[in-house]
Amino acid sequence: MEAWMLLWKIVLIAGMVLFGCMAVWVTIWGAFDVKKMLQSINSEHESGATSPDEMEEAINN
Amino acid sequence: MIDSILAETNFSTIDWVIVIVYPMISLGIGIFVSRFIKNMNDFVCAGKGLGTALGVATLTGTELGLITVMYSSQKAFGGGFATFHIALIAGVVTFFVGVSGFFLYRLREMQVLTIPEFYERRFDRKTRILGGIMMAAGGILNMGLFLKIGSMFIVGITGLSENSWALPAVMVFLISLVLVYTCLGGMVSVVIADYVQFVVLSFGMIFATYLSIKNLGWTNIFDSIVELKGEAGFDPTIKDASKGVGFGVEYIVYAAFGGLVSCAIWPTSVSRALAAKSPKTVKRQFTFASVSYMIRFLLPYFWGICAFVWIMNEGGELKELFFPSVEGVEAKSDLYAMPMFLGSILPAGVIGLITAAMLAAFMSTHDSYLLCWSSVLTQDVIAPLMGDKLSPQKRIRISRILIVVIGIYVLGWGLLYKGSLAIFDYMAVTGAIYFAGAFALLFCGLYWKRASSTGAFWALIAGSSAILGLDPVQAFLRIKIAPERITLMSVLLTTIVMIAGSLLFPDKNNKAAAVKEFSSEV
Repeated sequence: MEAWMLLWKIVLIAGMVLFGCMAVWVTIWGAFDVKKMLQSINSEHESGATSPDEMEEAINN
Repeated sequence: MIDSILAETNFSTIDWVIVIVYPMISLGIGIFVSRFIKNMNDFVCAGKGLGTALGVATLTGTELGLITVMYSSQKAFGGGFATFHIALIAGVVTFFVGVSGFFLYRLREMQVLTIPEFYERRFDRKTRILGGIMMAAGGILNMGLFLKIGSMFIVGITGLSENSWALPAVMVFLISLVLVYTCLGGMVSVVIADYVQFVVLSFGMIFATYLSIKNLGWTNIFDSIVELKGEAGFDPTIKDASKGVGFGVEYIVYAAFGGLVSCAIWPTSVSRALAAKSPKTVKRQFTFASVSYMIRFLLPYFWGICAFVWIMNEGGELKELFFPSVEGVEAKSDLYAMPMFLGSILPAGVIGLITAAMLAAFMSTHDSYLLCWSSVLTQDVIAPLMGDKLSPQKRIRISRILIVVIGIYVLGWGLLYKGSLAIFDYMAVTGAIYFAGAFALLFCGLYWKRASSTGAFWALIAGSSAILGLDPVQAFLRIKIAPERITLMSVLLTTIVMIAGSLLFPDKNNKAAAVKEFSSEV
């Protein structure tokens, strides 16, 4: 039981530390990704690029 | 006297303000981004423009829902630290999927929008339609209790659980909010809401865990579990069937398979992979997200354990509420333990932020699931049945109508369902209706050239055997089999059916080569 207890203590502490670091990274870079995503959708619409299902529909017609 | 215990919480006016303002901000985001939605690709896959960090945020936002927090804390309330094995395995399996790209890399390479679309490319149209129906049936049944359990958290932490009107009122309010929000913005608003939720929830969860430890004492938490649950509270290989405690080796295998399903087969998770910028992004996204896949179970487990220790340490009326000593007195649902615990230890202001974050978790899971099942029904069942004559605008309209219909079902099911399974097991059993068949089709379809459409079709039907795990079904048939055994048996059955059907009825025009060619073109 002692070994299991030690394992779960390590898992809990290591998990929290890793998650904390990841949370900081995702918070910062995620904001940039949101901006890029909206820009890319906008530019796709402006350039008139078609989506896969629109192409499929064009083929069917 | 019992009523006064239920109403004891640090939830104050400032917390109510935070909880009300937060969803309004989310609603505002939904309205703002709705102008970016022009076609089905934007609505379902956010234009396939997710970067790694945003992908991790949205994966976490979807999979770390309020329902996950609730069923996990319930599981650990009874199972103690031994439940940690589920979290550890989930993290390790997701890491393996991320590094290897198992299933997801090839699916993203094929540029499919949904898993049933893969079924059509690899097998045939009827497999796609049946696959879509099975996926939506299992998934919609699976999310049937989300609303009720989420609402139980809200009424538990706010101290409203003493009022009988509170639960249905909160359920109606929340589902209305989610329906408006999801119908407006599709995947783009879902992704942004997930990001905001990730930020608030991740820091909030770490802080709440710190306060739990500070309040109860690190050593006291472990010592209490040693005293109250003994070895079964730590060692997951122990199972005492006579006392109904512990897990056992069979359960560990079931947890490992569940870990694979939740990251590589479950549609809401796969939809994030399919929305990623490139196949390589998928691998990075899941490698990083393996930490989230572990934490989404680990921290709620810890809160469930802390709630148990808190109740046992406090004793008196609180203990009597959950563990009545008088025969015939009904115990309070253990689902209320964790929110009541958080409501008592978190200070005013913080408790509002945590509740708002949980509300965000609730919303992000709901919108993702509603979007997922409605788009599967639209793209993979209705559109193929109508000969693919539907315009993108019509598809979006049908998806929105289905979102509302599913929302109404979720409200009704939450009010009517009276099963006694732990929520975790209910989720696994209903999910297995879909994933038992999907595992066989994905595994054989992607990695075995001889897999045929007949084998795939029969494997999907065999997957419905998982419904035997639901307790109303077992009561009707007068059988009693553990849900983990039913799930594993269903997976084995579908795989055997898939292999046997493929060997006995091979396809004349096998599409395995076409899949490979498509992959190599990208």
